[in-house]
Amino acid sequence: MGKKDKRSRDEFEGDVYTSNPNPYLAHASSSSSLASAPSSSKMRINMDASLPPAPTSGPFAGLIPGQTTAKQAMALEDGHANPFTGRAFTKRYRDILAKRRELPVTAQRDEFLAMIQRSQMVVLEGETGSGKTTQIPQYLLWDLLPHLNGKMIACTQPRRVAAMSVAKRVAEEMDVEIGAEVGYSIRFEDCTSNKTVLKYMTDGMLLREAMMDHDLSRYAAIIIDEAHDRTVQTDILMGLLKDLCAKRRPDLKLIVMSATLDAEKFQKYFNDAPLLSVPGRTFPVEVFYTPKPEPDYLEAAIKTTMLIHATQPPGDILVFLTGEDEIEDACRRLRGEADRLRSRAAHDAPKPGPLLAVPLYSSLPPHQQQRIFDAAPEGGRKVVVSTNIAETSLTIDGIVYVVDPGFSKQKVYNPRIRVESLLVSPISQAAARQRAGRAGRTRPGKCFRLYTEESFDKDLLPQTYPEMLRTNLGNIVLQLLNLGVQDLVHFDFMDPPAPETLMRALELLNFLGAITDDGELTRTGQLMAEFPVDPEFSKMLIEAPHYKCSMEMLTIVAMLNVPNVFLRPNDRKKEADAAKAEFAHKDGDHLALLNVYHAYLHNQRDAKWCSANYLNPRTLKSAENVRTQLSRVMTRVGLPLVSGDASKKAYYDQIRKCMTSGFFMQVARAERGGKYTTVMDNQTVFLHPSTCLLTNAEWVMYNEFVMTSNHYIRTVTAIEPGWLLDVAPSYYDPKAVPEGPARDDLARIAKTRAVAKAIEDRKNKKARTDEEDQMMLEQGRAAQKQGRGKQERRRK
Amino acid sequence: MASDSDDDYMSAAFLTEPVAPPAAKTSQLTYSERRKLKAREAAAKQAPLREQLKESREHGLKRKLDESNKGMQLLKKMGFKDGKGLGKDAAGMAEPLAVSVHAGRTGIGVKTAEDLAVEQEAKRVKLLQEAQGSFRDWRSTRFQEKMLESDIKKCRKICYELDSKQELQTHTHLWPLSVQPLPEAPVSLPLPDPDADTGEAELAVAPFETIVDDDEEPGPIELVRPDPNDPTADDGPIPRTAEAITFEGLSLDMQLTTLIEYLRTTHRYCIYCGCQYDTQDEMDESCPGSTRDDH
Repeated sequence: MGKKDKRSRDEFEGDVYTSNPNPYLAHASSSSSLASAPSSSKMRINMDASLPPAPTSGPFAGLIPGQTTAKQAMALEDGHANPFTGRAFTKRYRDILAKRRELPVTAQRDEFLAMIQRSQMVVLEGETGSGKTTQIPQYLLWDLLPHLNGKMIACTQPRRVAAMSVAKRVAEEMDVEIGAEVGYSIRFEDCTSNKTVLKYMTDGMLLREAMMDHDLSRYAAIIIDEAHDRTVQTDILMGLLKDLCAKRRPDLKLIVMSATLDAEKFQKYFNDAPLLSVPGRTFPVEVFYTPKPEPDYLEAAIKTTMLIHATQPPGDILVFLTGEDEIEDACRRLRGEADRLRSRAAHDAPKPGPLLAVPLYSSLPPHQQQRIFDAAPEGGRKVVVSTNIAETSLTIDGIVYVVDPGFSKQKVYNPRIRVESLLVSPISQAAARQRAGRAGRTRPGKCFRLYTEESFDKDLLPQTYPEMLRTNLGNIVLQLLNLGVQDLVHFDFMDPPAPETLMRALELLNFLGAITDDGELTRTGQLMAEFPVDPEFSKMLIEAPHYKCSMEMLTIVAMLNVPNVFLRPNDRKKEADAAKAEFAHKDGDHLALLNVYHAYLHNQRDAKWCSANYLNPRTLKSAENVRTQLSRVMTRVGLPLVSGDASKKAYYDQIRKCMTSGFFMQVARAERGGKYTTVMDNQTVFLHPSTCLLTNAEWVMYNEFVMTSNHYIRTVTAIEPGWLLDVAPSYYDPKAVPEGPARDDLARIAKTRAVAKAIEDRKNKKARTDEEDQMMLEQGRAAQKQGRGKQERRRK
Repeated sequence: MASDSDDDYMSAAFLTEPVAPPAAKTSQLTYSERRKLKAREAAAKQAPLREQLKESREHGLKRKLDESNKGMQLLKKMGFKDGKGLGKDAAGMAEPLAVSVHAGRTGIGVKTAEDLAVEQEAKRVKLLQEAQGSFRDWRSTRFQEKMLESDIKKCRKICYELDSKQELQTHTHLWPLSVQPLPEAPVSLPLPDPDADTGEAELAVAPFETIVDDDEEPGPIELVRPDPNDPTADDGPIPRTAEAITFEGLSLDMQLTTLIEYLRTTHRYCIYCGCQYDTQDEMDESCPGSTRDDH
């Protein structure tokens, strides 16, 4: 399931499917619709005309939008009442304002204003802690005053949590309520109102808005934050906005903000836009390398951490590891080592302090994630053992030492064998620098790299490859086509994907019936784009009514679009597996997911019941949420919500067949020795040990191809090869299938079917000829009779 | 179906039967090598699963999507040119990113067994090529040597015959060894016997032997030379004259040149024409030259 997690999380943004007309415009005042009318009719816009007229009265009197200065804005900020709400400023506001004025970015407010007033696009680079994410949108707000003509400013974030928390912070800073003047829009949550002038949102959300309003006419300015993350959504958004700014919205201001990683690249991409550098608040970090390569980086990390603990002055430690298991393992070992160190210490020698080891990874429940902010124990030290989420997205104060083994789990996609998997890979030099930087947030720090300096130069890539080059693009291509981008070949990607990746996406969409052989979006394709899930899933949902299993399909798709619901704690693996077996279905994991969801509802969503059965109540809850979202889309586009009779034998067959209609490209056939071979790409794979598939299924469809040094297919369900010929006859034309038992099977079935059809035809034909014979016979007899009659008459 | 008695002499069965070459090859290998080869083959058959997976993966990763792919056809309709990249200036990457699976917890910069194997294989192939090259060189030198040796032998024989006819005793060191008169004070010298068969097969595998056996640092390859002390060669050193020793100290080339020169000047005999000329003029006219290449 992991494969689909990230993308779906980005795309389930907001409750946007409730009504047909653009829901984003629902709360906009009518004057704003009028104001945006000229731009949507693609008229050339006078730049000045798009800005609100200078107010002659009211709190903003005297300001000329687009020509203000920092002094003017600061005077208003220091004023008595909040010009946006009319209410008097609170004391809390003034306290925060004092702190804001100390942020590094404040010193450059005028410089920034001058730049954006002169240029349509600006690139801004600044370390975390410079205040750019909270302050820049406000500076822009005070300058453009977009609310005066019913427009607003958007600031995009790659992560939902960031969008939400930053919006809350900025609402406080502006002394307004969250959801009023300042709001956010993320998956499942649209916290905005008709008063909203500053909106934080995920980049995936803004992309969805662009689908309904290609010109993004409601926005006076768009700020793309954390651009250095280079998510697929960010990259696509940048490409679209670059084009939009140049061709249809010369009045739209665009600011691209990134950490100091690759600012020149952004500048170059945005037609040499001016660059504003904001210094961060950082201290020098001393970097150490190992003299020779480490045979085991986990051992080395633990050893190094203990060494720091025993010999270095106070300060917390941040250790970067790759995954949940590794992190939990390391935490356990660190606790053990620290205890031993303390008990072994000589009586007269100073005892080393206690060590608090805290894990941090994204699948950790929120309350446990909070523990990283706990203070270090008295006289001791805190060690945070984390995945790369502590690299950029989370800031932990008090970190002075960083231990960097140089690895992280990174997504890879290869179009040739169609595998998308998380692989442990060496990080880039840029990421290593970012990691080191985490040690210098509060005071000068130290970074211990568990590799040689030579390896840093030689074995690490300068930059991490952007997600665009490492992901399956099926969904993105569908989105692009829906955004009206026709020429995918020459689309202005910042880093264009490999042609073969695009080919696979087009191939998939074509066989799913989303695009024609000329690459044009079909009606099915348009329908599919309505669903915020991967095309395979939306195809399943669209096909569901034919197989009388809409409800079931909604559940399965929802369950596959949330993180794993099955818990498997390290110390209770057996119990967890036994609990899971209770939900097993002999035909496979998808049906087991269906069982889990039904049981969850049957037990009134009881959290206690969940934990007793080793299920994650949070993910089940979000699965229900996703399911509701999807069912609303189905209703809206007119797909009937039907369900079959579970007591009938064909019930589960229909469900499995329906799933095959979406995932027919992910099919494997059994070989000897428990092995499977993926049908089209000829890869040897094994069923993931977590599968509950009981039968020795000859043919299976899978949701995910997990590649480590082993090859696994995860979330597997048995299918009939004949179904493949039903749902994708041209894809599974035996001639197109590589030689092997799979091809033989398919050819045999196709032949049997052809023979059966021929017999059927002949039968029909025979029936027809028999009838004809009969008719002719009768006609003949009639003619004879007639003839005889004539003769007789003649005789007479 | 086909019993021994009614052998179908028209049968094409032999075409499908295992062919002889491997056997022929192994016959040239020593026992230890054959054993190693067998062990290696067996290991390859049960190659660890990971290797198999890796192989199937690498094979799949090398296979490019071609014209038969629907996606390729669609992309071409959108204006894609095969071999080019995507993007505004077609400057995108043409090939997808490589997929490399990092197994285990070895740190960055550590050479894995696989890396080492790859390195070693490269080294082995290089050495093998070098060895093959040097072996080939050696073979051709050896061929030339043999030719020289046989020419020298022939010359010595003729020289003895012609000298004997004229009863010349001045150049006895040019005569065949067996007919040379013994010196008053014999000097001992080990003599390589050109005819002694030191075993061509052993020589042939000699260069390979060094590589296969040497796991650590295969040193420079030394070709195994015929053993001068081979027991099958002559029984002990023969007493020689000082002139003979000097003559034999010369290279084979020089020995032959000296012999030919002597025969031509003293006896007007050309070893390559195979006849004695009556006069110097006749010889100048009929004989193309003094070397084998001239003839």
